[in-house]
Amino acid sequence: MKSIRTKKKKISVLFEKHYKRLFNYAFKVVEDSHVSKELVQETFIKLWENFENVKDDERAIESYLITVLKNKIIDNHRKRKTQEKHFNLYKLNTSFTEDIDSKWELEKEIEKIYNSLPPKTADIFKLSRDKGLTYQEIAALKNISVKTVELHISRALHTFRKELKDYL
Amino acid sequence: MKDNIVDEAEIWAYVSEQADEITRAKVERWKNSNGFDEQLFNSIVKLYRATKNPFEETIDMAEEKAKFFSSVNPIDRKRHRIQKVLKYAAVVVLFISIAGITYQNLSSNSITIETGYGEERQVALSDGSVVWLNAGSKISFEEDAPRTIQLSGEAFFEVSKDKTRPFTVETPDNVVVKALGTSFNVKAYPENTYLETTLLTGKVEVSSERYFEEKIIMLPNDNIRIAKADGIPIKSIIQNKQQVLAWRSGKIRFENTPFKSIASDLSNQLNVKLVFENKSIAGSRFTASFDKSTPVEEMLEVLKASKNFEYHLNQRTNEWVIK
Repeated sequence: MKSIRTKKKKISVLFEKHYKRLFNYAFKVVEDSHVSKELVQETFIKLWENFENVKDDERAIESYLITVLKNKIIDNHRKRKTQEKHFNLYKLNTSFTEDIDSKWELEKEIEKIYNSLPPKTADIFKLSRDKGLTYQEIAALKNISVKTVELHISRALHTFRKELKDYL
Repeated sequence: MKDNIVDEAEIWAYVSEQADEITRAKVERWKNSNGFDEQLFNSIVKLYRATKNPFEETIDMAEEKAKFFSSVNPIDRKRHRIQKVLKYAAVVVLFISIAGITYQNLSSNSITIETGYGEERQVALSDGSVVWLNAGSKISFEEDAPRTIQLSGEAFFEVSKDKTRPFTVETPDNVVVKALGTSFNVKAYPENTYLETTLLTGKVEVSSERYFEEKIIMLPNDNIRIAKADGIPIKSIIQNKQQVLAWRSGKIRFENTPFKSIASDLSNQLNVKLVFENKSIAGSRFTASFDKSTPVEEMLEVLKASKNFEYHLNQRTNEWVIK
């Protein structure tokens, strides 16, 4: 009885830690927020069911989650595609698999770049990217000049473009 | 040329549609000039797409988490506490039952309340709960156990809170709806091909030894419909509470409901039989609201106004034939 409580607590922490990146990743592949939510839910359900068999180690769990999610995405894709007639399953699936692998690599890379930026720069860039604020709004919010905001944005863009030059 | 000097931050503002008018015009001029660096521009567009963060816009983390835990662990931690209590309770019951056997027959008094066609009734139970019984329905329970109810037909329950004693409703198919302080509707007419329960407030747990293994936890506005044929429970969210509860005010209400479902409601509640000689009309959907006292002929006349069909009464069988 005690073990189930520990399990709940552990999975709760993992849920908070990984949900966002898994959802964002799923969204970029399937481009549908409802479907993405479902797939991520199913991924965590699978983790719950197999928790005892997954190595209790950060990296093992992370790679388990992403593997399950990728498979869910492929299943979902296949289900949708088999409904379409005259369809070359093999061809599309191989390119699709490569595509979802590279999207996950990109997602991780972006996370890494965010973490490598000075916290203030990352913060200001996110206000622009995630919250959609204008430079003026960010300047007012942070009590700095618009020029300084632009400087932070430039710095972030420079780093992103340098680190992602193969992709961009 | 000044127009040729545009910095990354300006392009970013333009791409993310946050640029002011001056910057926007400047970038557009740049795009049409000889100095336009297409590769730089495209890389920023790509970066903008790659850094999209839909999580921020669409996700309520707490909600997603609650949903997750309710699906993996429908039996809440509380159950363990209840189980522990039950263990002791079982010991107590054993003593009581030894002492109780002799006068069990005297003390346990089975109560049955039934409604006829076209009739509905409100019943107050001794524990403070209230039951509305729809037409052609029946509930029964032991006098000393008003929180364990057998139902055939349709009823709406408003359950008084009592954490120590769950309120359970069992249908003839052994589907059990267990409430934890709540209001909900159960529809289980023996003639129907399905049974369904709708939760208005609180929380209930649906289980069935016959149909499925897992217990299903329902949250407000959830509707669970179980087809008797395959026993697979289907969960949906109700759009309109009025339709579910219209019968309580003597109304019979349909929203985008297939004619054949309307026919089965009319049969269960008013003992009016409809037979279809036209398959396609049986499947077409209607939205309407009637008093239960409305003559059938009048109801059919109203429905006929929106869809093309004919009807007549077969005097011999007393069935309304639709074609």
